[in-house]
Formats: sequence, C-alpha cells, structure tokens
Amino acid sequence: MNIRNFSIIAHIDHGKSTLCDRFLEKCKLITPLLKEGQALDQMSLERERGITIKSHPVRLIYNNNGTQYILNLIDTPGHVDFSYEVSRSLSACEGVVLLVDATQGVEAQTLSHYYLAKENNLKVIPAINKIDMPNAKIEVVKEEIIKLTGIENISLISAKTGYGVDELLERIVKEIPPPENNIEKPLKALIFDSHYDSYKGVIAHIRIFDGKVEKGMKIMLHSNKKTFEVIEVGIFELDLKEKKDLISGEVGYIAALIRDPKDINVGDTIINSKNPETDALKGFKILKQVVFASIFPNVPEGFESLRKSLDKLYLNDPSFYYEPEDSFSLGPGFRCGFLGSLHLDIVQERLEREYNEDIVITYPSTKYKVILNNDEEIEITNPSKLPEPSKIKEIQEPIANVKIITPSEFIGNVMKLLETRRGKFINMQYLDPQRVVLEYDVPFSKIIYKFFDDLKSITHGFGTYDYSIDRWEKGDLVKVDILVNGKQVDALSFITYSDEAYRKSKEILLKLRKSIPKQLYEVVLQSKIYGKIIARETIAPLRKDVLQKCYGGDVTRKRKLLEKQKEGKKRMKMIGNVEIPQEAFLSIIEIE
Amino acid sequence: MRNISIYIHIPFCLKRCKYCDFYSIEVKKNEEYFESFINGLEKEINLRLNKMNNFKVKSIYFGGGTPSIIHESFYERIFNKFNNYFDVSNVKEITIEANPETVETSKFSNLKKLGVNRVSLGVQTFEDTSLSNLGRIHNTKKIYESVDILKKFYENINIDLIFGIPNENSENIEKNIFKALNLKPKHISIYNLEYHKDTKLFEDLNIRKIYKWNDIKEKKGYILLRNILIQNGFNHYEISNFSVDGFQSIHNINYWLGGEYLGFGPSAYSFLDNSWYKNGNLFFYLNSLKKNEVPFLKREVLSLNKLNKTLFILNLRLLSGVNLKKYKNLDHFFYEKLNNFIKEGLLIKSDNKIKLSLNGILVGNRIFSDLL
Repeated sequence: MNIRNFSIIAHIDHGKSTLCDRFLEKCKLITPLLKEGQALDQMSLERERGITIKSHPVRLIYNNNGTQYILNLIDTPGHVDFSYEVSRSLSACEGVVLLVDATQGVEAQTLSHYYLAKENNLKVIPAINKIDMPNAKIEVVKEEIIKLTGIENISLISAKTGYGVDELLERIVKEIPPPENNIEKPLKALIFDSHYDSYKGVIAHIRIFDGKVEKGMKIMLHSNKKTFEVIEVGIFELDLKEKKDLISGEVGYIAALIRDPKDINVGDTIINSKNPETDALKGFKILKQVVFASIFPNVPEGFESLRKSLDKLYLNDPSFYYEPEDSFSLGPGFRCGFLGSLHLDIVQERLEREYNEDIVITYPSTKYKVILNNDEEIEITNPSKLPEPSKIKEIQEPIANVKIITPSEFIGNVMKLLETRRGKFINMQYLDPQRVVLEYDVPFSKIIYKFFDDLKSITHGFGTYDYSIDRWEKGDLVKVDILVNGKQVDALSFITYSDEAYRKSKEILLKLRKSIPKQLYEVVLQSKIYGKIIARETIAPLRKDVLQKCYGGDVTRKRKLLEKQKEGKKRMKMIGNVEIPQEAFLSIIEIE
Repeated sequence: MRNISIYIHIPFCLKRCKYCDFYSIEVKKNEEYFESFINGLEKEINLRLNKMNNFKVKSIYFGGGTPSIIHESFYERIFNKFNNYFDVSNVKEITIEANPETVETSKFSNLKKLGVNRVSLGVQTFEDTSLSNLGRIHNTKKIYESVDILKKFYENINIDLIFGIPNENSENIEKNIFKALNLKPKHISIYNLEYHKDTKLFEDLNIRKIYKWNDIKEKKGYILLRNILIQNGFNHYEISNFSVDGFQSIHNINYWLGGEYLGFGPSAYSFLDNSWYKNGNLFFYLNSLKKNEVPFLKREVLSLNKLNKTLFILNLRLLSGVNLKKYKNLDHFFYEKLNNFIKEGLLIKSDNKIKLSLNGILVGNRIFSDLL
C-alpha cells in the first residue's frame, strides 16, 4: 500500500496552513475558490490568531506518474503550550516537512519541533516558504537550516503561488518511507487527537501501528484498561468518511460511544481487549496542566450556564480541567487548569465569544509542590489552599528550560529581561552571524504573564521562544493575602518570592484602588504575609453624589439614571460591604 | 375633588445653554413657530381639560426653554383658555421662568395683571466669564436690572444659582451667594453643575477643555452655601431648594409629594392615575393636534412596587421627610435597606417619618438607586 504519513512543522505564521491548502488543492480535495479560508483551521479564533489549536488530519489521494499514493497529512498545533500534543502527532508519522519562512528564518518553534521530529526518528524534508517575497533571505535561511539539520537538499517554495509545491509532493512520496506493515500482529493504535460528536461520543483520531480495527471489535484503552465496542471506523477527508476497517499503517478515526472525554488521552494506545497484554506505544504522558486560574460567573445566577458551557467546551478541548470551587469572596465558580497561559487566553475567549459567558477570571498561578514537616508532599494549584506556614518545610516551584532566538543586536535586552524574570543563563549559540539561540532556566511562574509580549517588544518583534518544564526547585516563596476592609479576598491571594512580595502587592493595591469606585465609607486595602500587614492603600469615601434638579418632567429620566446606577452595582462583587467591579479582578492580571 | 398642578413647557430659547439637556429649540424673537405653537397649545388645553371634571388647580408653572421670550399676548390667550375650565384667579401660585436678558417692564407688569405671582430667575452666577462659558445670554449687569424691574411687581422671586462651574472656586460661590442674598429673593435654588450626555459641556469635559470639581470640593461648596443660606433665615426644605418662611414652591412640592399634574406643550410630562405621559416633540405635537389627537408620545406605567419606591425616593428629597404611613406595599428588602441606612446615619427616623441626614443628602443618589 502506498501510504505516507507526514506532518508539516513550522513556527507560527510561516505558512503551514497555506501549504496544507495547496496540498489539498493539488489532490483535488478543495477547489481554489475555497482557498480564502484555510481549510484546516476550523475555529474562527484560530484563524484570527493565525495559529492552529486543534490538529485536523486529512487524507489525500496523490497521483504521481500513474502511481496512486495515500497521503495522511497530520496537522499539528502551533504554539508553545501544546508541545506534548505536537510530539504525539509527530509520533503518528514517518516524516515531516520542516517549513521555514524565507523572510523570518529559523525560529524557536522550528527548533523545538525539529528536535521532536528527530526524537521520533522521522525523515525530515526542509522547505523554505515565501521565496517570492521581496524581503526573502533565501541564502541566509538556507545556511541556518543546514546548520540546524545538516540537510543540504532544501526545497524552495511559495505556498501562496503554488511554486515548487508539486516538486515538494514528489519528494514526500520519494523520501518519506511508507509505514511498516504489521497487519498480522495484535492491534496497537496511537491516539493523537480526539473530538466530540454528540451522537457517537468521543471520536479518537488514531494511527494504526499493528494489526487492524473494524466495526464491532472490542477495544481496550491501555492506560485505564477501559473497554469499548467500536461502532464506526473511518478516514478523514474534509469530513469523516466511514470505512470497513483501518489497518496497520493507516490513519483514521474510531467511534465507540465513549461519553467521557477524560477516557481518551492523547498518546494513549488502543489495543484489542482480547490481547490485554499488548505493550503500549512509547511516549504516553497524562497531560499536565501548569497554569491555574478560577473562573466565576459575573452574577451568581450564571453558575449553571457557565457549567454547561464548560462541559461543552471540554468535549472539544479535554486538555483543560475544571472543578467546582466555592470562593468565600466570589461565590460559586470553577478552578481550572491549562496547558499554558495562551491556552488560558483561548479558553477564556471561547467562553466569552462562542458561549456568551460573562465571566470573572482570577490571577493565574502555576502549580507548587509543598513538602510538609512530616515529609508529605502535596501539590498546590490554588494559592488560597496553601497550608499554614508552620506546617511547611519547603515550597518547590516548576522550572522551565527556555530557548529564545533573537537577532544578535538584542542579546543585551533579552538577557536583561531574563534576569528580571529570575532566569539562570545556560547557553548561547549563534545560529548564523546575525541570530542567536539563548538558553535559560527560568521559574515557570515568571513566564506566565506577559513574557511573550515583553520579549516581542524588546526585540522589535523578532524574538521567539519555546520552553519545556523539566524539574522542580526549592524557592523562597510566600503566600500574600489581600484584604478589603479587613476581609480576606481569597480569589486575590497569590504565591510569590519573598523579595517581590512588597512590590507586587503594592502594585496590586494601587490597581485595586484605581478600579474600585468610591464607596460611602473609606475602604482600606491591605496585603498580608502570614499575619503581618506589608502594604496598605485607602480609598477615600465618596463625599458627594446627588442629583440636583428633579422636578415633574424629570422623574422618569432621573429614575432611569438611578436604575442604571443600580444595574452597574449588580455587576459588582460584594466583599463585606464593599462593591468591587469585575475590572478590579481583571486589572491585576496585568501585573508581572 | 382632584387636586392638580399644571405645567406648560415653552420649548424655545434664544440660545441653548451649554449644560442644558431639556427640550428646546433655538429661535429668534417673534419667530413664526410661536403662532402655531400657541394655536397648538390652545387646542391641547381644550382637548384635555374637556375630559377632566371635578378638579382644582393648585399651581401653574411656565417652564422651558425660556418662557419669558414669548409675548404677553400669547399668555393672555392661554389664560383665557384656562378660564374656560377653571378660575385662574383661584390658583394660589403661578410661576414663570425668566432669563434676565428677556425681562422687560411692560411684559412683566402685564403678566402680573394676568395672574402670574412668582418669577423664577435664571441668574446662575455673578461671574461674567462663567456666564459666557456656560453659554448664557445675559451678564451680571442684566441681572441687577431685571431684579429691579421684577421687584416692582413681584414679591415672590426665586433665584437659580449654579455652583461647581469650572474655573470657579469656593470664594466665587461665596461671593455669588451673598450677591444673591442682597437682592432679597424669597426663594433660592442652588444646583451643582451637571454634565449631561449630548450637551456641549459634556463634550468640553471629554476633550479636557474644562475640569469637573471633585466630590470633596463639591461637598465643601454645597455645605458652605447651605450654611450661609440658613444663617440668613432661609429654610432648607429640599435638596436644592431654600426659602423664606411661607415661600416654599407649592408647584414643586406637589411633584415631590407624588401629586398629580398635567403637562402641556412639547415634551412635557403629565402624571395622572399613577402613570406618566410624555408629549412628543414640537413636530409630533403640532401634527397630533392638527388631527385633533392628544399629543402623547408614550405612557409609562410602573408596577405598584416600583411606583411606590419611585414616589418614596421622590418624597425623600423633601427634608421634612417621608411619612411611612403613606407608602404601603413596599417589600421587606426595602425596609431592610432603610434600616441599614438609618444605622449608617444616612437616614434619620423619628416617629413615623424618615428623612435624609446631612450626610445622606450628600450621597443621595447612592441611597436612591439602592432603594429603587
């Protein structure tokens, strides 16, 4: 069978989606009329941000001099927070096209994705895109790629005009090896993605390594040993297309009335329940959320609606987690975990835009490992849940290994940025005479907020980064509580370094002071570490607010004005007798 | 017998003031609109008063706009119309609003003969720069001249003052209030300058051409004015209103006590049978009357609960307070809120009355919006 399973790996905006569209077009799966929208990016949010969040495989029929090939193009998510998903998508392939923008050159994610491809022993075909652009630096980029990969045969293409795409397709079928045929072995299939269908349950996107799967078969999920009966198997065209079976080497989907998306984990192995002893494929990890924040409905009545929306959203994005939380200050809501801060942004935006939820989101935190005096270890994802300090032996925090690519003129700026973020220098390497890879170890909590924005601004938009979290380290960390008129606002508690606690809490108090409107009484804002007040701000009481003229013709108008004022109040959260607007909670998120 | 007040809206001004958001149209003197407007008004009076029986008119009030720009002969026609339905000479208080610029001896002597017995003069401030900044057409000199004329015919004169004008400070307002007191009016209204959407002043504020007084300065200003007025024998009887004994405005007290009133003229409101009715603007108004229709644009009926709350907070503006017995059907949340405000010292309770404390007056809006 002439199958080629491959993926395109590229940094954001290097033209991956456009190249996918061109492949689809060449293989007659899409008419050029449709090319405005990039066919594989389904969600509007993805298109707006120019990134692919969910990967959508597609099966193409490619004719090369009379020989027919089946190309399974497995799309990969394109952002730092999704590197595990990328690695699983890659492990479903035999080869990759390494796509680099001729005007940008090798970027941080080009690097990290390339290394993931190497780890998976994939055939790499480098290609330089956008060669038709006036500012293309083909020779420089070529050198960078050769330095990175050692491969000299680099395709030059323009996904936009279609130039070089035919030759690239030819290379794919010639250079990428066909999958091994192990149809006689017991079933072994890799789950590299999933989506939810309200009739068929979770649809798992799979790559068959060994054996085959067909309708009616009893399958088992290796990680949790749950068994299901397959009700449908099929392949991906632009839609799902049912098929009799999927055999070794093929890429497709199965449906087995799996109702709980938690059961299907990316990277897990599907085996035949008759052969429960079958080994799992390598590389499976339970997805780890690293950024945590609480989401509350803006008005308490919104709780049920928010729950429904989260349930729905979760079906299509099982990589975030949520559980009910009852906050003393903000009422009922959900504690949520995300793969990174961009992931948090996406979930927030989808809740607001697709599900019309009016939400309050709290200051994001990472996960901390707390070692108690009795050597018991607990993980803390919500600062307000940190045990009493007297019980704590030490607090450990996750450390990220960060790789940054920047034009060399900005090295100084980047180093300064990383120092302010408590980074430790590890390594520096020239990619070419103009560009440098800087490697730092940085506490993960220090790259959650605004890190990317800051990096972009100090490198005039040229800097890119990627990270992986690889260990825990003891930190000099304390919990800071925020009090409003003596009442602790649990949703505002945060964990930080003891030498940053004062600055950070002062900034938070100032932001709160600005965004909380004057009340009838003085409002005292304080921050506290272990019972000791470290900073204080006050909001003077409102001295005067009274309508002047109010006569016959005005009654209706004035009543409406007062009602508007009252409506505004309803949208505020009451902490004791103080009304705090949603903006107050949002404004502090901007604090690094 | 039904006790009512009558309001007549004269929607014309020589020039709109920058802060004003009442309905009015800029016209030149003797504008051709006047004739059709008065024709319309006569028709409206006929249409509406024909349907009313068994009523007594407590007060009449000509507001605007600038009622004083219209010739007295028009007033004569209106009064003649009224006399077809009730005896104008039995009405206790008949007020006309006047701009100092438009006060002339003959006009105001004739108005007096017709039955007008109270004049509300829009003085606003005694600073000429401020007057022109606010878009007022008169100056200080004109204020003194107009008061001299009015004093010849009227005992009951009200002076409107504005405080909180950008570029003025507490010294200015102190001078203003003493200048006003020197004119010996029986009634003084003081208004804090407000910035309404869709006014020129609001625009100026947004582009930072001018700056608002902050709440602390406003509070001090208000208390200063209030103290001076009280020391000079005035009663503070409503949030913005002060009077010498016996000269409280009958017409306005009727509003605050939730009494019924008929509003004639474009964009005027009426309150009858627990509903508010609003007339349409001049063009709608004249059109409806051409077809012999009452020019109501909309009617607003509130739930009994909302109505009571609305009337309650309106009544609370009177510093003598609200008689609790008068308001029934208020929910327990409402009483709970009242009790909280009493505890906080913003409201005062004595016997069956609830009234605003001085601190309560200052943050009245917060109390009203909370109670609503």
